[in-house]
Amino acid sequence: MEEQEFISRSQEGDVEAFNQLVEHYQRLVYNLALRMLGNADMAEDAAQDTFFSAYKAVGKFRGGSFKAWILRIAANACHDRMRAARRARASSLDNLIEESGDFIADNDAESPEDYALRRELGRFLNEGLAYLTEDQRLVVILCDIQGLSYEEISEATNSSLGTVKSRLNRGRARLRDFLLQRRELLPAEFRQDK
Amino acid sequence: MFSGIRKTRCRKVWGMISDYIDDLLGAEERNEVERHLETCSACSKELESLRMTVQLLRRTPSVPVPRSFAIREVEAGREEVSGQHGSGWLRPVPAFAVGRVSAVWGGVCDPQRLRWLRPAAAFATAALVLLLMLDFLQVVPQQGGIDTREVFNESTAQVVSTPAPEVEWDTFEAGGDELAEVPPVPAPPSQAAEDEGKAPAADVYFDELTGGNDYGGGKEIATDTAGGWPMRQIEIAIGAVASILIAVTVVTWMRRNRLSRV
Repeated sequence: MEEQEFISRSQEGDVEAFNQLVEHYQRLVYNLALRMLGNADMAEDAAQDTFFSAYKAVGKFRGGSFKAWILRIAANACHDRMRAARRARASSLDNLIEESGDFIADNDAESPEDYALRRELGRFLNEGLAYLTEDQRLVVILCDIQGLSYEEISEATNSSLGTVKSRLNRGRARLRDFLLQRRELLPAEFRQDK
Repeated sequence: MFSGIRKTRCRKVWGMISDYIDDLLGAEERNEVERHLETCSACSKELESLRMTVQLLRRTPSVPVPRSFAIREVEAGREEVSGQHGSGWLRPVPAFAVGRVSAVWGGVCDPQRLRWLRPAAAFATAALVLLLMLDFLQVVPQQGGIDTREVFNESTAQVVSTPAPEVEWDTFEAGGDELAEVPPVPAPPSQAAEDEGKAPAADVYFDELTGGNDYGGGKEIATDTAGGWPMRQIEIAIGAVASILIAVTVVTWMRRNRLSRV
């Protein structure tokens, strides 16, 4: 209800109201960009692009899930960044992953060991996600990391429910193969024999 | 035969395994999957490994944002100006309104109003290419010294130029040898005099020829400006127009792509 009010006011040009939406969704958008691009700087740029584009286009928003709508814009922004990086041949996604790793301590209570483990896990999973195709990566991130429903993913990716399920199945299987090949890097509880 | 049926069942279960992990199956389908998993160790292992992958993904840490991505008032205002619609770009821009330049540029690049742009850019490019080809083939007479014939004038000791004789277009279009079609250049008076057996003394002729000690003195080169087209200027102008049109087309195309995906 509150979100709907912010959306309506944003559509009338109220920047403050739009910034309330930014505040609410910026972590989701930034994390999607970070997982998609594997690079903190590029993710920051993509997130800023997303909110700029969203502000310009909010007048065209015709209801439905605002979360799915903004994630769709974010996915487009990530796609643009990846295409530009590919075109410039500045660096491959592997290199980008090497450059990333800005996993800032989330809270002060986290121990250095936990922080190190979390950081390593984040790096490792980024490597695994880079192993997937762009479409599979997007669906896996939205479903298993961001926790969106299949319907929301379908809306965010502008694809059918069947396509979402198919990409999710293949993406998970491919990521599983990647993880099993590097079992020694997994946390202890996941290092079971196949 | 049994292995074939088994593979078919496995394939069916694999198709539902993500739904099973996400607990999205109906009771009947869920029972079917569980019955199969009890008897098929391969599918059980498949399920376990996938479940492990999903659990790992769900433990992926959420990274805090490095800064706020809030839209600032200034940026929002700028976007409003550059994104406004209407026929602003067609209105004359007052000299003092320097700030309007960006708004006008935004209007020029508005994809909705520039359907004429692509054909115009194509036409300008084609015109430029055609002109360059004509220029290359030297079909069109040009302005400048190329067509100038320089001859020595014995009586005035000045170098003067005789304009290239007018040549009928038909003679070029007939495809004949260009040089053969050019009427012979009249012989200089000294040559004519020699022909008549009245050759002047060689030293006098040399002095007159060089204008005394001043090798460049008194030289006067006349160029033909009548009848020639300023091809170079035309090409440069059309080239500039074509470049601008192509640039605007590209910017418009990029804007259209971006907007259509939002």
